[in-house]
Order: sequence, then C-alpha cells, then structure tokens
Amino acid sequence: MTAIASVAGPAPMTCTVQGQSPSAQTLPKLPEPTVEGFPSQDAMAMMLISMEKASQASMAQTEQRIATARTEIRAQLEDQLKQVREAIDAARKASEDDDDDGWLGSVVSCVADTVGEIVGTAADFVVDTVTLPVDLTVGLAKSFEDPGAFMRTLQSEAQGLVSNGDTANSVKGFTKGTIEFCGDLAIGLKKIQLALPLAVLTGESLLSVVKKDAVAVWNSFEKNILDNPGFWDVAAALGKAALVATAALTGGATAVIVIGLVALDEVEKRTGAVSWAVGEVAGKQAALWVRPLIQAGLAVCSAYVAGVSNSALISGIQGGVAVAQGAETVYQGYQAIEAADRKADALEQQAEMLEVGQRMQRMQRLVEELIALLTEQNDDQKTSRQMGNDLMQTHGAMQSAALMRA
Amino acid sequence: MGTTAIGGTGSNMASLMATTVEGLAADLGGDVNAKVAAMTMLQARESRALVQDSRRAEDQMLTTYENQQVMKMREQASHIREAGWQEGVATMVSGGLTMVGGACKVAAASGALTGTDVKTGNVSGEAMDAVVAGAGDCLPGASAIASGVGQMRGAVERARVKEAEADETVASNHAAASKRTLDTLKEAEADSRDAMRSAIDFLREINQSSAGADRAAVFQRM
Repeated sequence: MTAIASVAGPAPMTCTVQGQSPSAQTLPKLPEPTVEGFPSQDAMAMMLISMEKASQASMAQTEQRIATARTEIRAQLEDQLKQVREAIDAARKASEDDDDDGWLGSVVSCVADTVGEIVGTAADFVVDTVTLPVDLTVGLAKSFEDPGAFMRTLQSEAQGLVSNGDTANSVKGFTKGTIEFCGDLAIGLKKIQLALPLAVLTGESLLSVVKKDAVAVWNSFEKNILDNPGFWDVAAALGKAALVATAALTGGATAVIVIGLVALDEVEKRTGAVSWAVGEVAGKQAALWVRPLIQAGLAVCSAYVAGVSNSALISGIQGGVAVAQGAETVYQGYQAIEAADRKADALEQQAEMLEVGQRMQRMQRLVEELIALLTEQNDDQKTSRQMGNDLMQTHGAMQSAALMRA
Repeated sequence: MGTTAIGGTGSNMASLMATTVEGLAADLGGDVNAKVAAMTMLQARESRALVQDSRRAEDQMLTTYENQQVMKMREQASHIREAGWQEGVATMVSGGLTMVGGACKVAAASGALTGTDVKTGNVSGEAMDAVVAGAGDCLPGASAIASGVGQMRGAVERARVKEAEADETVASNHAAASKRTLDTLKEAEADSRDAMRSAIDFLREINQSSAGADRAAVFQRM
C-alpha cells in the first residue's frame, strides 16, 4: 500500500501562450494516485486501479490543455479576421470618398467633355495638317524600296489625318480639366458664400463649413489639374512654344538654331527619323547619341535665350509655365510621400497578419502535439490494461493449475 | 510550451520507468529477456528524450526566425516610408524653388512690361527687376540640386529596404528549413516510441510464452 501510494503523478505541465503570463496558463497538478476507499485488499488489483486512475487523470489534463490551446487559436483567428475586416472597411471607405457634386457638377462635366472633344479634335487636325507633310516624307523615305510599305505609309498617314491622336487626347484633357476645375471652383465659392451667413445664424463652426467645400475644390484641383496628364502635356507644349517665340524674337543665328532643334526634337519624337538617318549614315552607335544631343542642345539654347531675351511677355509665359511645373513637382513630391506611406502601411499590415498566422501555426503545432500525446496516453492505458489482464489471467491459471494438482 | 509550441509533453508511462538497465530489468522480471527488453526500452527512451530536446530547440529556433522575419518586414516598411519622405520632401522643395523661380521671372517681366520704377532704398526698380530675374534664372539650378540630394538620400534608404528584404528572405528560408527539420524529428520521435512499444510487446509475448510453459509444466506434473 505504501509503495503504491508513493507513486507520484507526472510533473505539472505548462501551456504558455506568447503575451500571457505563465501563471495564468499553468494547469493544476495531477491528483495523487490513492487507493483508499477501494474495498479490495488485493495488492495487484490496487496497483492496476492506481495505474488506471493515473492514466485517466493524465488524459483529462491533456484534454484540458487541448481545449485551452483551441481557445487560443480561436482568439488568434478572430484577431486575424478583425484585421481583414478593417482592411476591407478601409478599402470601402476609400471608394466611397469619390462622390459626385450633384446635377450642376454633372452639367459642367458634360459641357467640359463636349468642349474638350471639339477643341481637341480641332487642335489635332491642325497639328496633323502641319506635321503630315513631314511624317509622309519621312515614312516614304523609309519605305521607298518596298511598294507594299509605301502604300501602307500613305494609308496610315491619310487615316491619321481623319482620326484623333495623342494631340486630341492631350488637348481634350487640358480643356476638360480646366473647365471642370473652374466650374467646381465657382460652385465651391458659391456654396461657401451661401453657407457662411447660415453658419453665423445657426452658430455652426465656420471652419467646418468652409472646410467641407474647400476639400471638394481641392479634390477637383487634384483630379482635373494635378493628376491630369493632358494638362501637363499642353503646359509643356506652351513652354516649348514660349522658347521658340523667344528665340524668334531674339533673331539671328540663335533663332535658327533653336527652331531647328525644336523641329528636330519633334520629328525625332514622332517618327524617329533623325536617329534612323544618322544610323544609316554613321552607324547604329552614333544613332544612340541623337536624342541626348538634341536635348542637351535645347537645354543650352533655352538658358542662353532666357539670358539674352528682352521680351517681357515671353519671360512672363516661361515664368508662368515654370510656376505650373513647380506646382506639379510639389504635388508629385506629396504623392511620393503618400505612396510610400501607403506601401509601408500595407507592408506593416502584412507583417502583422504574418505574425498572427505564425502564432496560430505555433498553437496548431501545440494542439497536434497534445493530440499525439493523448493518443499515446490512450495506447499506454490500453497496454496497461492488457498487461493487467495478462497478469491476472496468468495468476488465475497458475492458481487453478495448482488447485487441480492438489 | 514556454516560448515554444513543443514542451512539457511526454508519456506518463515512460516517466514511471526505472533509470538503469538492471533496475528496469528487475522490475520486468529479472531474466535475460527482461534485460533485453529493458535495454531496448532505455535506449528508445534516451533516444526519444534526445529527439524531444532537439525538437524543443528547433521549435525555439523556428520561433526566433519567424520573429526575425516579421521584424525585417517592419524594418522594410520603415525604410520605405523614410525613402518616400526623403524623396518626397526634396521633390516638394525642388518644386517650390521652381515655382519661386517662375514667380521671379513673372515678377521681373511684369516690372519691365509696366515700366514700374519702384524705389527700394538705393536700388532702382530696373536693378530690382534684374536681381529678381537673376534669381529666376538661379533658382531652377537650386531646385535641381535639391532634387538630386533627395534622390541620393532616397537611394540610400532604398538600398536599406533591399537589405532588409534580403534579410527577411534569409529568415524565411531558415524558418522553412526549421519546419522541415521539425517534421524529420517528429518522425524520429515516432520511431523511438515504436521501438519502446516493440520492447513491451516483445516482453509480453515472452511472458505469455513463459506462463504457458509453466502451466504446461504444472499439468504435466499432474
């Protein structure tokens, strides 16, 4: 009896989850295996009962640990799902921010679209008319030895004359963006004008009234000017036109050089004819230097012309274009910061989700471990029973054999 | 589990066993077969304990690598943010300088157009126009310098982002290797357990055979 009673259960097992105190997760000790209260005084039977009790208690403890681990996994899963929900809500909110400005805004947008289409088409036709002879000459020169290509070039140029190209899109974007922004600005100012007296009467915060409409005007500026590539295409073209005009007013050789360089730049951009011609004459390596040289020449001439020009009008236009381009650059910087923040936030969110996933995997491994332990304990219990049975059978058989002998 | 997932797990059966071959063999019957079974069981138990220790250590390593992976991702995010700010602020400064340059040009031009003759101390309006126009010519250069400095600092941060990305990949690869090692160790532990069970089965069969022989002997004596 003493020997059996002194058999202690296994050491207390702990299940500690990261971020929680170990004491909160420490499971109770196994009960001491005792045989008190059992009617039998047979030592073997008591030993078997004691083993059975210890085994059952151990299994119960393992089951309790599995339940604890499962609760933890559920909590982790809820944590992860919460983060996913937050991400979805943020995306939904971002899409809802893009609301319309009512019927007046729609009318302005419609008018801007129509005017932009007309002005763009007209500008494209004018540009095509000016550039057609050059493009046609270059195209025909390139495909002179191939009658099929010759015909295709003719067809393509004729088609280009009657269809809208990049110029139409840029001018349309510029016109539409400018009109829409002016419309939104007028609407915003009107709203502020009407809302301010009302706010004074109702005691509403003036700042909140102004802020809402100011944000709407800023959003329009962002959409129609800053994020409008057509606007900046036209602004750049205006800058180039100002350069040509300045050079023309300067007169002399400088004017010829600047106009020639601008023309070469345009022809090269549209057709690649200058690179092709240089490549034919001086080799492909030389052709690679054509564009950088034209750009460098333009930069030098621009600086020179700006220095020697006395035309206040042209300087004013150049200054205006510089202001606009500077504003665009400032906005690009702001966008770069925003984009970096967004990317960093997304990566941090990804890291958090990965961390939660890893914690869940750890808990999953623990559960698998505990289930394996439970299975093993079950097997141990089965083996103990079988061995006990074998022992009892052998004991009984020996006793019956002895009795029969007697 | 301490800081690891695996820990504190083990069969209670194994913990009840004696620690020496002689002691265990005596517990199991004391004959040659019991000694063989005892040796097998102890060897399996030692092997299993070793494998369990290795698993705990590997699990700890896995946790460390996983934490490192997350940490490197956060580091990447921090450097991305820093690079964006460096470049963005420099670009904004550059744009601001371009705008001021343009405004100077416009101011100088409007002064010349209107023939303004503003006196600023001893400086005549024309001289002021010239100074403003000069500033208009100089500021684009300063703008380009600001942009260049920002790009340079941004490039340094981007290099750090790439370094953190490489470290994250290394940690991720180590974590994957740790997982594979854990799987292998799990199989090794199962093998040890099987060996222990085989020893018990062997002993049971021997005992049954012995008991059968004893019974037969008793009956034969009759």
